[in-house]
Amino acid sequence: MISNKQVRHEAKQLFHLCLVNSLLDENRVRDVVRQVIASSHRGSLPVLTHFLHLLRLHRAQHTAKVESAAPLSPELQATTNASLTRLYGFGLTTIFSDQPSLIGGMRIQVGSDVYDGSVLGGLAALQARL
Amino acid sequence: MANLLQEIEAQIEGLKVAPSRQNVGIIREIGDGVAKVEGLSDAMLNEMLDLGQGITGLALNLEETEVGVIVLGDYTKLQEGGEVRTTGKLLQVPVGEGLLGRVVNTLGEPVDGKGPIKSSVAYPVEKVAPGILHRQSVNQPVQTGIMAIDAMIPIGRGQRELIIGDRSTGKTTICIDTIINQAHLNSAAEAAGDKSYRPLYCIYVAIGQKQSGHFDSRGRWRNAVHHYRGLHCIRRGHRSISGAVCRRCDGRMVHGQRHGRVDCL
Repeated sequence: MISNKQVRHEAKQLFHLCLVNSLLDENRVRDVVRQVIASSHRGSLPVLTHFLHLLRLHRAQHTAKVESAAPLSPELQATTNASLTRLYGFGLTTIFSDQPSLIGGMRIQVGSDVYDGSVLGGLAALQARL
Repeated sequence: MANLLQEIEAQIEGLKVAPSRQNVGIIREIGDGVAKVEGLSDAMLNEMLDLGQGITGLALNLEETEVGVIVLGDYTKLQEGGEVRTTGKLLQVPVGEGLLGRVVNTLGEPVDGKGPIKSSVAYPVEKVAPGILHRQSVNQPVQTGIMAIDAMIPIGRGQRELIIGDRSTGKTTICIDTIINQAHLNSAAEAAGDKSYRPLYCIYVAIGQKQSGHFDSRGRWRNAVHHYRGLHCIRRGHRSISGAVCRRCDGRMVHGQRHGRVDCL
């Protein structure tokens, strides 16, 4: 039986093996998963589960979800992308999507940081203040 | 009406909308008043978190990928997947004379139905107490009203006294009697117009007790009752007493009591 602490430690070590210059190398990730499965170690399942969790978190931290009430022009998308890259560094994937429920403005989420400049967010803040 | 419209127009012209930055997380596990929250990369230790539904949490266990949060409210209203936001404020409670005579919960919110607490100042719960050199020396006794204690083991104002004993041996009774005696002494001094008397106000901290039992010893005595729902608040109970003692700088004296297996004066 492998302890939770050990699972986390091993998964973290595997995760660090997949990083090249602080960026995730997808080929290394595939290799690591293949090797762990091939080793048929009895704790491989919980380790891989936690490894997957770390990968999800890493992806969330390096993905910017940009939501806007109306579709953004290519110029505005490029400006937004450049600003986000300046803030969070290279390796950031930006996903643009339309969200009419925002009424107006833009909402950006990168990891656990949320920048809300939408009308919906403003109204919610106003409601909370009142 | 025309003036009103002009005012609103001027305010709209001067309005600058800046996007707000928030740090959010997602509840992954919740149970027994403790939640595991994923995200919240900017959370501070002892920071108050907004769990939604008007419920506040306390960030206690900061890990690499998640934060352990104590829910200071009804955790059954919360569900996994719910959003949690940081507030940027450390755990703090309102302080001042407006708190006297009131019953408050863990967050210093009133639970006695007497309306909001009139206090403009909030103190952090985890505040460093003044150093021993800055404190006034003990030079005045606390009259417990129990002759045997006052004669044999007198307690000074500013001191702390621990009462240890088995169940049903009268630990709480000693504390309640002391509180009642202070109320009588304060009232007598006020009635006599004795300005040299320094009133001693009492704070009753109830930990793990039913709320219904603590509404009798408040109000007319100008004492405060802090109510803590669970055992996880024991440390905070002690801190609130310490915090109350810290507030004695302006000349008032405070007596605190923790309800449980161990009482302290």
